[in-house]
Amino acid sequence: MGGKSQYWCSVVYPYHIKDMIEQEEPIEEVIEDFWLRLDNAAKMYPAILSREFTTVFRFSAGLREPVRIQPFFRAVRRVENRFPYYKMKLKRGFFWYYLEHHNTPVPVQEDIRGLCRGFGEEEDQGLLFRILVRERTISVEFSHILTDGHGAIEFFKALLITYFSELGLTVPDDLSYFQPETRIDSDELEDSFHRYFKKHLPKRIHLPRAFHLPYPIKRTARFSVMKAILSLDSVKRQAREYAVSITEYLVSVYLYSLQQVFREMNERQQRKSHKLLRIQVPVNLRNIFPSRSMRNFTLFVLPEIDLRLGYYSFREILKKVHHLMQLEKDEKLISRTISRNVGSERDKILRSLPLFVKSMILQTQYYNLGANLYSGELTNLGKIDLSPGLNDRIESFTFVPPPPNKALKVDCGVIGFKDKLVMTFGNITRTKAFEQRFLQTLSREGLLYQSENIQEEAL
Amino acid sequence: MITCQHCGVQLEENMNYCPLCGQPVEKEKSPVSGPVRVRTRETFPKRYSRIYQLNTTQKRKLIWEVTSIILLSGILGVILLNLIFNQSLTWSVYPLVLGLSVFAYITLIIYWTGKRWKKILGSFVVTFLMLFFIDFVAQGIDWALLVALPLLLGTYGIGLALYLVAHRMKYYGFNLLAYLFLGLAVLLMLLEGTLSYYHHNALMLDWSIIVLISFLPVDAVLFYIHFRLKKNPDLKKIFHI
Repeated sequence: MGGKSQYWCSVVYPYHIKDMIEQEEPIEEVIEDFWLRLDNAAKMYPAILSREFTTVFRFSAGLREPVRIQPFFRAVRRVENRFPYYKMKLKRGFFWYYLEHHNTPVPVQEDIRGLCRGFGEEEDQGLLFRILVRERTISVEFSHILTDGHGAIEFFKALLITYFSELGLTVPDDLSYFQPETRIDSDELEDSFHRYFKKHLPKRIHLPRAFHLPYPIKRTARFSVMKAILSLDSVKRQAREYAVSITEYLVSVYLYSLQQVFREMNERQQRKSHKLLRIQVPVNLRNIFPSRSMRNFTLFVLPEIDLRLGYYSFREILKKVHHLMQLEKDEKLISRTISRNVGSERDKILRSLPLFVKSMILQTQYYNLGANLYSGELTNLGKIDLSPGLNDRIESFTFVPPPPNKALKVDCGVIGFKDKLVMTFGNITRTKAFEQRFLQTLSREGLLYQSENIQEEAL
Repeated sequence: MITCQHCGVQLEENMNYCPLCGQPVEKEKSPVSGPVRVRTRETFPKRYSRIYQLNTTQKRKLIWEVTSIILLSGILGVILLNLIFNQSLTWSVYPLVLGLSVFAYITLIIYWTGKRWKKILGSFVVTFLMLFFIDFVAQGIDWALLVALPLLLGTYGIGLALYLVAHRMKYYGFNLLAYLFLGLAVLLMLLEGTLSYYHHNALMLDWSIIVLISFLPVDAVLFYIHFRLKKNPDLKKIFHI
């Protein structure tokens, strides 16, 4: 680990990002006072957390060789200090929750318990992320309160690359990753939602409620996970044939499968359910607005089809999804959503309410502005590439999305690595009918897959 | 290089314990290469050395044992004191009944793993028996059947109704608070009704009606906020003063 003067950190006041206090002192001296406000997206999560709806997601890397534990521990010790803004505990303030730095070595745990469990004081020392190891697999699990998929994958990449360098492998000089002994940039801590907040933008049109899967949910121990592995090249070829991106293609398969589920429902069920099929697709805003933030900076586009207008063929869905996603990724439309979200947070009255009242409101908002408005969720993290030499040491990457909420019931995560595309379905219902429908649609498209259940029960 | 037989990671030659899973290294049995049979998720036998590492069953047993010892020794202590000073059982009957009730509650919570409704029924019986015996030792059976039983039935009934209502809610908001107020108002009516019947042999409702009427507009506001928020999430508009 580098010397004292190599890194420092700051207390961030999101309303005055530009006036951010930068204490250029060694971290050990300011660490006692190091705390962060929750970023705009994270503000919602503590209010809706439950034992089962944990907002915890996971990245796993399956290596070719069993993990060598001593070099791995050394890698963890080096990497954890590069990301002090992840070594935080969630604390309850009077008006808002906040994050407080916890300067303790991050425990490395044996990966034998359920996936995406909530975090505990004893097991995780109150931290909001965990590092897990078992045989050949290294995993990290992050709470959405800390960061989004981008932040977590950057941490995970840094951990893997540092581990490989501890093993004595050559890491290419031009490989871009967060090297352990480098200075922390204050931009990494910023809440970019506030930076790109614009006042006085018109309100977003309120969306009508969307269709939800009709399957009954399990009573307890609900989160089950299923994985499907496809050939990345085949999916890419198929998407290119339709002149759409892989995400657009998979979202179309999602919508088509939901439509199939709707068609298979009896007439009474169809009459009672909402007829808008809408998918929430997270968009990494760093690709739209320049930002180096390692905290949440993601919003969603919501491609949809309206079954009141009739049934859609797969090609029609593709066309609609492609154009809707292109349109909704528009900077101005995204700014409007940022404006709404940050605007609510800045509301003087809302800000002055005590936390327990605020939590009730946020919970209501979560369902009204979120969960009730979409029928499915598909997160595509893109393709991971560490460099040819290091890629050879890894067999596969898996991304497990957070357990879906009671309305959503099923969600899906996608990650690509080398020639594989791994899709993971999180499910809290008593059936795997939707996953089967989804995979059938892929088969009909001529795509072969291998599937396996990686968790049948339990959080 | 040796491989841990428990968690499957590779260890250095000089390691006697796996730093990941904490298990001792079985060097003689560990093959240098070849497949390793590691334990599967959560199926391995656990060894425990600290209280926080105990599993739920062990923790429950420990809590039950500790509380039982404290309660039973406390009960014995007060009975002995009562016998020494009064040469008969008088005031110690009350801590005896209370202590045994607490003991019954704890046993019920810790060891009754059956259906939830059976637990609720069990707690109802324990509470009623506790009140019954307190009444019995005080002045013979007086208020236990006429006051305690209907009030207890009412409390459990209202509690159960609130639980069912809350269980059916997709999310909790101001509606939960509104239902709580409503439940409280009904409980207060039941309290006044029971007491008036006990004292005057007639059902007379007075102040509890006023409480109910006062709660109704509060409930209306809470429901309004809840359902208004559903349609229009503009908080500034709703909370604008």
